[in-house]
Amino acid sequence: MHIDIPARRRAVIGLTPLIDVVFILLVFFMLASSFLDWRAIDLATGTGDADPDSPPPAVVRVDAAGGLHYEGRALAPETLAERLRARLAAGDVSSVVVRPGAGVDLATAIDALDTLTGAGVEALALGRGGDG
Amino acid sequence: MYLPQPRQRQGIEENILPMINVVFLLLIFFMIAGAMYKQDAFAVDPPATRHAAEGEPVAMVVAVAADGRLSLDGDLVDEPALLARVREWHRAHPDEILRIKADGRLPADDLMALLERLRGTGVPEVRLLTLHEPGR
Repeated sequence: MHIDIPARRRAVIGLTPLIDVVFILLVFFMLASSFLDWRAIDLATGTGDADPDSPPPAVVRVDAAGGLHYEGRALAPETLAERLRARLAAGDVSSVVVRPGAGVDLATAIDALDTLTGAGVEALALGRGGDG
Repeated sequence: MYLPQPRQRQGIEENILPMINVVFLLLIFFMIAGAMYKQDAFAVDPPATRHAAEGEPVAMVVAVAADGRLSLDGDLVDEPALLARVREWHRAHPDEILRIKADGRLPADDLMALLERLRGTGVPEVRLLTLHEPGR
């Protein structure tokens, strides 16, 4: 009996399908992945029951142009931050509440909050309602 | 003068190999360096900060558009549905943090009002997502 032994052939893997698949994967990952640098600010959903013995919070109002008002006066962020830090350290105020005025957009309010954070003011919170 | 004739290329496969190498490197770069998050139902332009802590838009993300539309983990929802789903989620995962991705043009008071209504679902604190803006 004669059996034909098939000639051993080198396996040929075509490069073209591989390149196709790799390109599709590349395009998918390029479109689907994001490189945004996300950050986060913790916000309380409401005010808890205030301790009657603790000093009141300092209220900083933000107007639509991003100006900061404290105790009825418009102050530069650095001056305000310095004053707030001093009052927090002295225990005159328990915390600082940033209240955006009516119609102030979120970007302006968050910018004010961020400026004060950057100037070293601690115990910051975002509050509601403030007419300027 | 005698110039050697350039050698005939050995088919297409040989000059395509460097390209495959580069494409593979790009693929691996995008797979590892990029992050994939669930898309929102609408475009959101979050506020910029310079001093906020790290945060990622993962787990439950409530997106708020500039016109007040709401989306929860990519689904467009109305407010009663949102509050119901957040209440259910918070009951199941009391330790997880709710993240809010709000558009910077949204009036700040609208967001604060939404936060107050979210308080009704038992969520004591949320994390507002912002984008890092290095030095101005």
